[in-house]
Amino acid sequence: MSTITLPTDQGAHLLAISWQWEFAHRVLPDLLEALWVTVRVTIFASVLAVTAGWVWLALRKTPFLPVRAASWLMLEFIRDTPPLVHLFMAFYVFPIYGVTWSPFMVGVVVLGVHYSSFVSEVYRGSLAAIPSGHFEAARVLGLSKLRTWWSVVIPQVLRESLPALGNVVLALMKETALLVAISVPVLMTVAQRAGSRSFRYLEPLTVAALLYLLFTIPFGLFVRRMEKRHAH
Amino acid sequence: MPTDQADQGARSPTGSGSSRPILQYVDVYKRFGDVEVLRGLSIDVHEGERLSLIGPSGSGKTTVLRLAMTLEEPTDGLILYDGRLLAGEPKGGGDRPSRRARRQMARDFGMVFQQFNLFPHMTVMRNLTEAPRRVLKLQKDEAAQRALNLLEQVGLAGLEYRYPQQLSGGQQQRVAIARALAMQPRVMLFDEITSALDPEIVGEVLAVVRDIALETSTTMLIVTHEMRFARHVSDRVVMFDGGVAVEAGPPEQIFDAPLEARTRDFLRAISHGY
Repeated sequence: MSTITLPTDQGAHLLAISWQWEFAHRVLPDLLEALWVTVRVTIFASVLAVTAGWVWLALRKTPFLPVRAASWLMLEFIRDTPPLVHLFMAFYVFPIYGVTWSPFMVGVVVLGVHYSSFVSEVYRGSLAAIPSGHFEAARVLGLSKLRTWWSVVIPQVLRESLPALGNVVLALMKETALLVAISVPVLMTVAQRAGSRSFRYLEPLTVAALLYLLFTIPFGLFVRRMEKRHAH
Repeated sequence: MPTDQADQGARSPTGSGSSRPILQYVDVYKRFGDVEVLRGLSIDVHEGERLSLIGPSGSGKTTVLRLAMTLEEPTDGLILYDGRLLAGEPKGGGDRPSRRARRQMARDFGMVFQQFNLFPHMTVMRNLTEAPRRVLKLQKDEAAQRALNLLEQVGLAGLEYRYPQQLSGGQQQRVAIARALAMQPRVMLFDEITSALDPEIVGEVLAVVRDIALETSTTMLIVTHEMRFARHVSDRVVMFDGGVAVEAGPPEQIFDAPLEARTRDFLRAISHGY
């Protein structure tokens, strides 16, 4: 085992950092369970972000100016303030107004809403990339506005957005570490707890990082492949 | 009426003037900002007629089609379809058509664009069946049968499950023609349908239009730069310049003995261009 010894003699044995397989094994089951929580938060928050992105887009495209202005303001607020603020807001302030969610729920909603602001930007870009001729063709064929969105616009926006949405999901998964702040038992929280109980952070944090990679590397490769196929 | 069949080419059996106007432009103006694209255009298009619009770029030809399709609103003047108001503000505040009535009228028009505008995420089959199913409420297999017949007609049988980007430009444009025909329009508008195509495949697309002209009595408004095609397929040709119709007449007049100097100059300029 490799050992790094700090250049002080007193307490050197305490600070000595050496990898212990036995301890890594001991924390693994808890971390695996935390991985499952992390994945669930990621999935739910992603679904929320991808769906709410449409709502933002619709609000921003409405012909009614006050609605457009209000949604723009809200989007700027969400995008340009730290998600940690939203997290504490939802966790500590909402209950005062009678909104009491479980920490898991708060995490999903806050991350989902935060990333929905990016998703709506992605959709907006994809929408702008659709040639105006497609709208004209739909109109000339007599398709209703609703039908045009459903059959012509939404599928194309989704297809165009897919690689960018993949990146949003990746970022979201890493951002779940933030939920340590409200004690949702995600990977980061459980690793930190295991570390503070034993004063050994090396193994839990390393295992946690590896478990993140277990997901982010294959998913990242998948997204990159999508991007390439998309670029043709 | 000319009696010589060979000379008459693909023209409609009725020809112009013998039937009532289906589409009328009455003193139509169209301004985009400071640019006046149409300056008092008046033309009657007759039922079954094949009318070609020729003239230099920017002369307002395409705008004429887009107005009929209500993709643009006239700045002034009226457009009538079948004797009913389609677009424009009637003087003295007459009845404006309801949105519903306009949509009903627009259903009788089909349009083919320069840029094809096929839906790239749909197969050829779905491109052809989407509107018949959603707008005309055809059953799925009925719409599919209609699509297959049309593909056959435009020479693309067997390609129904391809996606647009798997087809050549000429094939895509033929699909776009079939898509417009699937709605069985009374009036077909062709907007420079060969301008985005490589020269060697222009012919295959024009042949399809010529066949439609021969086999149906659909009214056609054709904006084109292909003079030989215009001569062959049209009953009447309108020369456009500076937002007005400079000269209108049978193709023999326009191409062989133009009355206006501007028509002569235009035809000379484009024949030297090639």
